[in-house]
Amino acid sequence: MNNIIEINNLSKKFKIKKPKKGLFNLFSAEYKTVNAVNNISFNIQKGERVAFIGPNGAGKSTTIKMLSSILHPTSGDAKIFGLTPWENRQALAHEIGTVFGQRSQLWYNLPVKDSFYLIGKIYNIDEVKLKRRVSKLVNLFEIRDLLNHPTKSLSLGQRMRCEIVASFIHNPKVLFLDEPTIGLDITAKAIIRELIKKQTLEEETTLLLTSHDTDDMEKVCDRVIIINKGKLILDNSINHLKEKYLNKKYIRATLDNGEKISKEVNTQKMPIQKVLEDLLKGNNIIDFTIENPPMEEIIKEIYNQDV
Amino acid sequence: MFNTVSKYFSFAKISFREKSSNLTLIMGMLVILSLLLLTYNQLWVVVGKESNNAINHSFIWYLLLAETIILSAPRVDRIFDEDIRSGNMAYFINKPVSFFFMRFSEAVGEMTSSFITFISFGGVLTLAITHQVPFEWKHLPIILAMCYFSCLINLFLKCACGMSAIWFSSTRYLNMVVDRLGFVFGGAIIPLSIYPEWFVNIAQYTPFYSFYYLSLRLVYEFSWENLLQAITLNIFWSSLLCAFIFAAYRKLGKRTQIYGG
Repeated sequence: MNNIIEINNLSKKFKIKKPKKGLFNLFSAEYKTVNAVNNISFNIQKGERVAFIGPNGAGKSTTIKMLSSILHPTSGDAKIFGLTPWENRQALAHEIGTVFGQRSQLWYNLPVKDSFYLIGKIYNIDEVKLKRRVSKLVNLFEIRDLLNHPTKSLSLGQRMRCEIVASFIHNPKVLFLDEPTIGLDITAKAIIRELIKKQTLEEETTLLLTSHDTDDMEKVCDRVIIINKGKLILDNSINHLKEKYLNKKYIRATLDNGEKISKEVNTQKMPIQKVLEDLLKGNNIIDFTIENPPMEEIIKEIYNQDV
Repeated sequence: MFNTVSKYFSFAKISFREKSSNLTLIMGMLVILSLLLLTYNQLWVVVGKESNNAINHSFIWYLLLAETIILSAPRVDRIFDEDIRSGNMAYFINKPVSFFFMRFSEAVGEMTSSFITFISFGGVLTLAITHQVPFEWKHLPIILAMCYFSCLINLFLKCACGMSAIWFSSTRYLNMVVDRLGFVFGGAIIPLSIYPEWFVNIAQYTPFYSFYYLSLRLVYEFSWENLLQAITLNIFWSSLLCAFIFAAYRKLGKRTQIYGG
């Protein structure tokens, strides 16, 4: 076992001030405690690409923030390369890369190339090496045309590509991507996913990716961890997830008169062969597809089981 | 050590270049400076006529340096305030860089660009208005160095205001008050030498007295004693401000709390 990330009973509680009315209540604040992350444990091996999935408020981002040294946990332990992230920020800084989809690490008013230059300086990368590294990433992510544009003038998709390049500049061994495709259109999402996968495979980067979009985990990752209300509810391979929850199939057929038929089949109750035979009777089918249920549905089912 | 210096120098360099290339902003600021210098020159002409005295040109030079300190300062207080309030600062915690020094270096780069612009343009304009200089040319580098030092202290003051976001819900008003106090107790428009003595006695206990008045009076009252007094007091106030900033920064590091999403 070559665990790069080890998490044991990690918890994070937030104290949130309750809003109160009245002047006298200014002096007696009341707090409520929110368990954002509740005793989660898992390990990640070198080069693994793990999707960290969950609904809003599940604790995904909080976990990533603890692992990327930004937050202290309330209890529990985590190790990255044997070091506790929140106690060894500087030692781990060169090993970790982060992208927070809703935060930019680029300088808003500066051209993208200047942001890359400054990021290189932050990580003390030699200028020759930096130029070579940036050039490689710029070609891979096809952002050469954007280099002279200030960040503020980029579209969300363009900005996100630049953000990901920025996170790869110092060649991190572990990359945390928090909602990297949030707000992007389908084409931009597909490009980003493909590029992330390509780059992480090439450099054997260990990846932990949070997302609401189940396509992100299907297209990029090989393992999925599902979290809900701060608790870990599933940790398995994407394939296992599909096999276990793929008893539902969608059959879509196009008839010769142009009519389209769509059928949902529970394969545990009715063999798919039987459904196809029924469909072929009296219909001239010119095209048909059998599809797995969307990942959203699979996850919804797991959530429901958990509840 | 060299890498660290080079790192922060890069922030200053890029921000210097960025500020220098913003021609619209520069032109706007130069128009403001020109209007101020011309208006106050006219004021001193009227005062001179009314009191049957010759116009004191040295006050226009003093005003040029004071306005350079005021106008050169980037709104670093607002930047710190926003970065603290939005939690942006926390996202730099896991990077091998000091968030404070990074922002400060950027501000220094921006300030240096403005300083050079105002001093060179303002210097030519003031010379054109007054046709004379109230100082010996050999003292010019010292006067400029002291003015730059004052710009830095003003920047420290703005950083301290921005850092106060830990305690105050908005630092905007605090900064406004500090700016106004600078005008009054620093003699940023009219040198304190023509204020009543009781007022100067109060003003001398504020940092504004040292980094505006003591530094800038060298332009018309240069002496080694005055220079030493200005340097000593400026070092004292800048040390005090730095101590406050670092205490606040440490406190900020401990109190950082970001909520997940």
